[in-house]
Amino acid sequence: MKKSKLTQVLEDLKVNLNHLTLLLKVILLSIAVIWLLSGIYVVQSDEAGIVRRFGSVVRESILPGMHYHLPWPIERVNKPKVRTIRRMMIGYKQNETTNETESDSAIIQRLTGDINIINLTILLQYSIKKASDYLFQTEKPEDLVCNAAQTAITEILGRMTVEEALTVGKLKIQILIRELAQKSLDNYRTGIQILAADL
Amino acid sequence: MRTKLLWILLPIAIFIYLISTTLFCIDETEIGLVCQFGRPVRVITEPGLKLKLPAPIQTKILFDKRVLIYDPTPSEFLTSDKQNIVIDVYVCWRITDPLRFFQTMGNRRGAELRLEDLVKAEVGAALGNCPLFTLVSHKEGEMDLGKIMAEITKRSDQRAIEHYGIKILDVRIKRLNFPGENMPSVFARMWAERERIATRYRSEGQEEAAKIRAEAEKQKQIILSEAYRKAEGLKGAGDAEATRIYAQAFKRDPEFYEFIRTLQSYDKFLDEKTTIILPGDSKLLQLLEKGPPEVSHEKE
Repeated sequence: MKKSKLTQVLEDLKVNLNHLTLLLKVILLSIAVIWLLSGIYVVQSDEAGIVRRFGSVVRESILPGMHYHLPWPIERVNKPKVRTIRRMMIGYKQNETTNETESDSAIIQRLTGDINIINLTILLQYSIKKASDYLFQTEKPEDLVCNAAQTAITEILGRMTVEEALTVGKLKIQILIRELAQKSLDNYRTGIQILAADL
Repeated sequence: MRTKLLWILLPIAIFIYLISTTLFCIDETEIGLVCQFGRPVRVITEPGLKLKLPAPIQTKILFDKRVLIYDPTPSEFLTSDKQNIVIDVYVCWRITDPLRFFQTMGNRRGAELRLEDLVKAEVGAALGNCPLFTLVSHKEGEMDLGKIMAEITKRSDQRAIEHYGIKILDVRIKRLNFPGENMPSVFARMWAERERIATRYRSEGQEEAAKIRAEAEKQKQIILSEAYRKAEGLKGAGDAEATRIYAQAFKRDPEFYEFIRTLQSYDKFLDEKTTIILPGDSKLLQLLEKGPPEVSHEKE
């Protein structure tokens, strides 16, 4: 008795499916096609592509061009701009309209080795060197860059006299900031490369 | 018709529900914990598509696998030589044992509260053992901030792994500075030092200036006396020459010479106030008595 009821249900299902209007079928089909097409993506010349399937990385360093990936939620792609050089201003902000700079005294005041206080602002230039690290290894890589640079300054200035820092030591400071901060950043695997630090 | 529709939709709905609760993804940035009736049974570290028994038999909890930053507000600490300084640290940490983490900290917010306590304690302890010059000093070998930070990191990490299932990668000091109340005295000291240096430069400069002036004075004297010597020499030579020329001129006509000289001496001693008494036949008076002598015109 039960079995026949089940076959009855299945038969009813088949009949009902046939009764679905053509329009509905077309709609469903087009949704499926669009869904499949959503997997097409373009990697620009200043980007690199990374594809994750169900969350795990399957392809990285995808070269510029048009590619296909299985649509969401199976695969998804990230395209970070790896070639652009980004800038970070530490200790000051640039007003967009007037192009003036405002400094944040809490950040820029620093102690030198002979217990003097100087104000220091830095302009960092950096780029992404390993996209998978940049995207997936650390929570906020830019914050880490800022913090690592600030730590580097504290360490460097704490060893110098104020005269040295203001005059002959400038080049040394810039080089050391890059070295020390980069070491920290690589330690955390941020995938970021610091290119220059200008005072 | 209605019940037929129900018969179709219900199994589909149940199917979808089962799928959504059995299959799940672990992202590259996540770490998963599967709990069975609330009891943890499985830790999943590899990303990808995973399977579990449907809820409510098994549930999943996801944690962030990445390096996380904890950046507390700066706080004041005391060094071993009783100096107050304000320290701004940042902490890099990650969850290594999600089970332990879940049991002890629960979530991110709970973790940060515990981290605050832990890190503050470690930093305070480390700084309380160091005098100020190990943090800030331009003398060789005194300042060792890097080592202090490494020490703090190591000790924090040991406590964290033991109790909380997380790994502390780095505790670093972003900034250290004196608290606001101490600033005026620091600035005053800086000002005094600059003053001192400026005064020293000025006095050095003045010393140099005095030296240069004395030297110049000396040179001036030398040049002047040299010039005077030359001038006198030239004068003397000029006088001698003049005398020679005079002598030559007068030699040509001694009588004229005598005439001129007499007139010159009259000019000198004859004036209204002086009374001169001379013998009558003095040569000097001859001119007054007799008049100028005859002039011979051939002489030239």
